[in-house]
Amino acid sequence: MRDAHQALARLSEADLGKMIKELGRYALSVSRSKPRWRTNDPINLPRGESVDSIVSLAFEKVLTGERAWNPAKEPDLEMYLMGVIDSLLSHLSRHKDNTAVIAMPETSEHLNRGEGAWQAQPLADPETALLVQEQKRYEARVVQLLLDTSQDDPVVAQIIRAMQAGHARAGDIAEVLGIAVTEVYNAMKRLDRKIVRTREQLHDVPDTSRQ
Amino acid sequence: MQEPKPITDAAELLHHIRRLSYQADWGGEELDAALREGGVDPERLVSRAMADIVRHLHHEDSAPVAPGIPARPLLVALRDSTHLPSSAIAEALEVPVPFLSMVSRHPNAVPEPWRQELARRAEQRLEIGQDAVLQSFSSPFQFDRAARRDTPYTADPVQHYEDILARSGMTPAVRQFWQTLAADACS
Repeated sequence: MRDAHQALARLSEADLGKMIKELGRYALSVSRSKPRWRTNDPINLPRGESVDSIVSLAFEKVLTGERAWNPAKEPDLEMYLMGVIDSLLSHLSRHKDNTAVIAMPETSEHLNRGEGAWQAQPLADPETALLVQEQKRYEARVVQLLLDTSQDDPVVAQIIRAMQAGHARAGDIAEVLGIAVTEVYNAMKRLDRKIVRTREQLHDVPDTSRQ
Repeated sequence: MQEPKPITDAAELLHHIRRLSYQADWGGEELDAALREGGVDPERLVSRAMADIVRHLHHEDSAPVAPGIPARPLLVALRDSTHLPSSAIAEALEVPVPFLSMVSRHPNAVPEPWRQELARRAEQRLEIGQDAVLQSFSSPFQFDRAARRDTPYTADPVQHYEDILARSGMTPAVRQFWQTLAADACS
């Protein structure tokens, strides 16, 4: 906890502001990757949360010590906060307030595990397993649509293919494609915009893969 | 380069895409544009998170506030006193949230007539003493932070009230009011 306090206090106000915006953009991106929000809005989320509040909550969890940042394991506090945001949005998307079904323990076996333990084993819960399946199906459609809509941008399409082939780092992708690293990063920004449009398209088109 | 292991899981691929996209060097304007395009107000986002972070940092050093201890930024002080969200406070004060955020973060650039006007409105509409508002302007947030940091102090890029107005999100008419208020003091 003390480490996080010191790390944040060392930042200039401008740097802290930039970090908050980057985390906001990241939270937005993760929120958009969820197939369903009961609010039908990836900005204003169930339980009165929002992209803004999720970012604040991530900082709060780390600053109060509820989530313990260990700089020795993860030197980059911002990366750690991104993980906290992943976790918060994942939990919120599976919360009963966001699902049509009640994803609460119903059997004595579940209840005996103690609070929270059942949530760590979502596949033991059939409703949660359905949600996981829905999430996976949605993500597969996102990837396919990204490839389809990237035909007008060969670099972006090649980067997706390279990542599918297992090249996750910008330097590796640049080497494989024979382009500059800066070009990879510029393409990632364009890809980010495509993901925004992809979500809109997916929500306009019914999922036919279930039929 | 290690032999790559193909990624067949869409979730993992999208996770890598998000992380790589994060690593790109997003300029301030690009970030703002991406957030706005997604429906998020960057100023409000920063204002809220910044206020919460400052509150936690202050809470950590939770010794009683004594003379000489820097005051809280305006928006934090108003939120703590009213328990209202920034948007409601801004509405009560009849100013946009970005303006409120900017005057909170850059008190050095806030001219005296603005301080008086905001203090007057806070007293009338939020029942907060004028002194509390004026005190928020007296101990700049940056100094507070600078005192805690080990690295060199970064100069505040907002030095003039025009900088605040430029990013205030105000309509031309409202902006003219604050412009005139500041200009009268300078003349």
